[in-house]
Amino acid sequence: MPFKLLNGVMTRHPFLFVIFTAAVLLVATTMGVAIGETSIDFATVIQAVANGAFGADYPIHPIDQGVIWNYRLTRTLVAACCGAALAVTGLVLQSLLRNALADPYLLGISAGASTGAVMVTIAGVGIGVLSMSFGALLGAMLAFGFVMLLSALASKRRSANISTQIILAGIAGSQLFNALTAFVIARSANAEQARGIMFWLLGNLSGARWQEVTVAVPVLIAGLALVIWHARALDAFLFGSDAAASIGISVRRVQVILIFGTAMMTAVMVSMVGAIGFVGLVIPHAARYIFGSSHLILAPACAVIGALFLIFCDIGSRIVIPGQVLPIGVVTALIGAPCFALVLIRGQKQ
Amino acid sequence: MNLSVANIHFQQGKKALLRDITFSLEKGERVALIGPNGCGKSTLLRLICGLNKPTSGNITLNDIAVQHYPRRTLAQHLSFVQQKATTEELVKAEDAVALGRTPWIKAFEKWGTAHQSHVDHALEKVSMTHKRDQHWHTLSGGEQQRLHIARALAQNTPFIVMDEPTNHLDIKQQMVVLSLIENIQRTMLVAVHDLNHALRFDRIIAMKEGRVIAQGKPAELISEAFILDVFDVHSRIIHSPDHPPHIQLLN
Repeated sequence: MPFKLLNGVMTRHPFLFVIFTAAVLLVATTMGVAIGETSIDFATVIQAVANGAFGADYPIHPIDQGVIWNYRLTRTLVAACCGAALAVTGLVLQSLLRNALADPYLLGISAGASTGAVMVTIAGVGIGVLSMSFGALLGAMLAFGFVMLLSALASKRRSANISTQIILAGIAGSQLFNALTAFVIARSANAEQARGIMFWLLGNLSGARWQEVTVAVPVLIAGLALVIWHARALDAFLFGSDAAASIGISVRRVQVILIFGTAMMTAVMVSMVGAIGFVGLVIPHAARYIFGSSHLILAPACAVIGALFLIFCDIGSRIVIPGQVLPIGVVTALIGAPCFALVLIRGQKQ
Repeated sequence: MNLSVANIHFQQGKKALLRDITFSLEKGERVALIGPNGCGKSTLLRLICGLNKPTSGNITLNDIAVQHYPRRTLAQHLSFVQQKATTEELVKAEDAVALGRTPWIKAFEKWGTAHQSHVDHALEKVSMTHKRDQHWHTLSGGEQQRLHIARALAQNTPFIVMDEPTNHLDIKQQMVVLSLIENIQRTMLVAVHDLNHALRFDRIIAMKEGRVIAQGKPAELISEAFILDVFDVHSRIIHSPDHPPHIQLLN
């Protein structure tokens, strides 16, 4: 098994593995920048990046320089950050709630973000003051707060399984905010606006510039650090929250910190690029099949696989139909579903 | 290590699940908790393990209230083997046992030989060393339960609480798990549903409808009249020179 070998190398020589993954990420990023409607060769890409980052003086056409440095590189970096953040969030929620179907949008974040986005762009709330992204961020946080409040109230009454309460509250919150979005669209959007919103909901990386990169990178690093710091606590949830408590985990505290932390990370990503589906649900499962159950390995592994996956999906979205960019959510599902099916079938055979 | 439970009352909604429960455990004592289904055994164990808070009354471990222990410190004193805990995840037997080291290891501490030797000993003790690399879902119920006990052993606590550890096991595995429990030199409180199993403990505490109704040495406590009173079942106790006493249940 190549996976077994990979796993062995990873646990025995972590340093080697870090270098290896860094190299892979670097190559993937370069590909993300080089491949597109007009292909640019690798040498030019590297020269343009050197120009932009270190003020090197390679002679490159200003248009190429601009496309590489201000458009494709930022887009690829944001794609990588979003992929990593969504995959890590999915991993955390699946482990904490002991539910294989948990994904980053379980807690109402995508529904809230879409409500916030349509409130600003279509209903004209705070027009001129709020950007669509900021509206989406507010909406996402509002929906998440609503879901948390609902689950807190629900679990106060009964000592029933809190995970189930959170999941049910998430479903209720998502439905409510999705209905609000649909209401706003049905009431006042024209066909063009409705189409625009639909595209945004499926994910859209075209707005990613340096401003987005400077938000996405630190948020991802903070979120990932938080999760890795709690990796052993996440391991302890293997046999459920009671078992975690009896081996010394402050269950409620860990749940609050991790759910809040990853939810904020997801909310930031969604507000920039829309609700890219599939990554957060499927990458954690794939990572578990490959790397087992230790979160100290799973969390960084999910981040790397998620980042690579979204970089390649973004490349796909730009070249599948010439002259047109597919919504990234369509590509993640089209590429991801068959890959996941393969992993599932192979996992069964073991 | 001593545990003291004093005047415990536990209420959920309007229903009182536990009423006025008082008893204590001495260091090294092995006590069986018996009583019909729904009498509050599991509820009581959950309170002792700090998973729920009593409505009133005190549970103290070494003279400190259980609720006042930080979770991690409590887990260094007390381990809990649940009735049936399982996972869908692809996890190796050894890794499930290694979880017992959680209260002793820091967030970024390297997994060292000291931790590993606790896990090795625990696996040895439950005779699961040869299956350490097998995945959880490929193991039988009895083997999974032995691993849970090994996890508690790896946790290396002076006090172990178990909730019906022989439940759902076939008779062979019940005997294996039972003699395993007999060989563990710790203070133990074990909920037991088979009276014959309870006879093998130092002391029995009997519960009915949320109260402790009797406690004492098995030989002194268990009688045909007592079993009729607690479980509402007629029985006959068979004494034999070669075997421990046996309780036969009659129609």
